[in-house]
Amino acid sequence: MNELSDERLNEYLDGVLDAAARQDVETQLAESPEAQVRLAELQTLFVAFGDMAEVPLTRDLSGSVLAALHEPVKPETVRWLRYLPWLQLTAVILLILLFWATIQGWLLNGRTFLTATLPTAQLPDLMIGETVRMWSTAVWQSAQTAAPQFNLAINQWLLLTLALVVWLAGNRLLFTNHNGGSHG
Amino acid sequence: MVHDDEQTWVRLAQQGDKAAFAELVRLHQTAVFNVAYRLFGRRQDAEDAAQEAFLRAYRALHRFDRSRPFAPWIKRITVNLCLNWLESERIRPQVSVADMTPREEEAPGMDQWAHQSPTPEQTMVQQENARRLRQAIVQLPTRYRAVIEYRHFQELSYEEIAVVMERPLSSVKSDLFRARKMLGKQLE
Repeated sequence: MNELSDERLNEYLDGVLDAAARQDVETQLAESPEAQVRLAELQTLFVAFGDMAEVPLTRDLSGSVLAALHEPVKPETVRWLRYLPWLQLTAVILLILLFWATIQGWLLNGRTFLTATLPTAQLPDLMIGETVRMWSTAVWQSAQTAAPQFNLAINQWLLLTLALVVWLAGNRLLFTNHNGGSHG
Repeated sequence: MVHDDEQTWVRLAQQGDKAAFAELVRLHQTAVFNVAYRLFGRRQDAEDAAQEAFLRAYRALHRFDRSRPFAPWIKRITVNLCLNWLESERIRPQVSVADMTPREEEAPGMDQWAHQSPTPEQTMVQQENARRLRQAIVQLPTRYRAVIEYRHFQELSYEEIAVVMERPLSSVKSDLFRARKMLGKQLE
């Protein structure tokens, strides 16, 4: 007959064996004094665990826990809603890429518009902007992706941009500190 | 089974009532402290860990299912926290003589009163065995300490321990049996 393993004895004391396995262990124990000694050692350990009394706590932790609490409990939210700002941001980026050619045209005309609206304004040199525009145009053309034309008046574009800023602020993607509060 | 009062306190705490959370702390602080004390072996570290465990529980309270008992959840948070501190070497576990004064071991466990009152000699033997066992547990590798805590003090099954520790069942059993063997040798 095979020697009774330590694993088997542990499982026996943990009470996880089925009736047949338990009977088998007890039969082997009856025939093996050595296994009985090992079982007794394990039982002593189990008793020692049970005899370990709880150590009393000498001070009340509730005061210090309360003092350390700063943040309010977050309300329960549906799991997928936690990712909604990121989904919305992804959609915004995709839309910008989709209408990039139109946005480029608007940027090109932007100076003219600002000059007409704010004749006394000192506008920054747009050389850097022009360089970026030429580079991005080259990248776009090399990708050979045709962008749909979306003709809007410039004031309509301004309104669209303003709406985007308001939406981003409303979703706390702009004008918020890292703790989730609002500036000012 | 969840105590009605506890469920009420949890519900109120989830709504932001800090006084209700304080009641939960008072109800479970001794048990949580003992989890940490068994893993660290030092009173001050255990109190610090218990406090931090409650803070973490408060921050995660919105995820807690209040139909379930609070004690197993906060104890698991405590074990995870203690293991993190041990692995980051923030805590170097040791049982100091000052921490293991006889006075601390005088708190009677429920089992003592369920049977005949032990003789003074038996009480002394039990206290000495408990002290030696605490020392031995603290000297185990971190992972072995965790399985001993879960199995013998939180009464989780092998499968539950495997889920909580995110380890294969065979590894959990192997660690548990080896840990017992090491403890048995320490108590000889």
